[in-house]
Amino acid sequence: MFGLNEALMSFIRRQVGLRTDAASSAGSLHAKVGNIAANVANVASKVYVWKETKPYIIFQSVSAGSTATLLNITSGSGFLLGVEAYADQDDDNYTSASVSITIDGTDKTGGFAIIAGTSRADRTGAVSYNIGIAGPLRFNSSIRIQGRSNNVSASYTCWVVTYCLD
Amino acid sequence: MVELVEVGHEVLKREILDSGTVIDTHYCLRYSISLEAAKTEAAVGESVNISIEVKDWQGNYVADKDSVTIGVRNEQIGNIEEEILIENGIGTFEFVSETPGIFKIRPFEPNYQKNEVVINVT
Repeated sequence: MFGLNEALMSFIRRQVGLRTDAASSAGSLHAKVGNIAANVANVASKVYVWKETKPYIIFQSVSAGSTATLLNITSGSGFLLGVEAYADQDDDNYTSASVSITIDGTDKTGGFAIIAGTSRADRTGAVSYNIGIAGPLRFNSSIRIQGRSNNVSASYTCWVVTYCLD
Repeated sequence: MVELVEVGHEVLKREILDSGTVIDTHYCLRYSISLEAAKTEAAVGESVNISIEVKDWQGNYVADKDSVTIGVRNEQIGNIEEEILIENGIGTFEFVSETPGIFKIRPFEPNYQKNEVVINVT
């Protein structure tokens, strides 16, 4: 005889399901819990844990008319946090600084791009401009940053690069 | 592990982390050109001997560079460039000015560490 207890048990079995039910958003309660756990794990895998990164700061000056490898990382991942440059004013010439950034093998700056310089060819009333590059910019395997003091007959440039590694 | 490696015109400081990540940063330029003037004050028409040394970052003379472009700058005269012959990393030239003023002399060579000498002609 199929009574109320059997109907109730059948309903509970169907709704709660078994521990072995595959994760599903439309299945039993066990399946739904499995689905939530899978989603939580997926979201957690996409959250960047900044507190576990290692920060680095590079200070570097680059001689007039020279190109320097400010940073070249291979087989590593992390974030470029910023690149700033300062161009020293020469007595008789403009100074400017250009940067080239390649991330995971892709040129991101279109070769060397000017990011800092001085406004005059002498010291009278000269100002230094700086547009810099602000991150975070993700690199998954490699990053190369080169700084250049463009004018060989001018002055040097100073650089600050900040980054972190996973 | 940290080591210094020569790459092109640079010397890089290379750090290899336990994870296998390799970090290269600029250490210094590979070559330098240094000027040294026999005196920094001279009279109009007086000759000043200026020596040139081309060395690598470890202090060895560079034999395979045969000339250096030198720039002389003065407010009244402007910029003058002159190519000076070098032999086994050593060269020399005479500076003479027929007008008074401050003259700044430096190598115009990209990707070399370099210095400037200033001569006051009175």
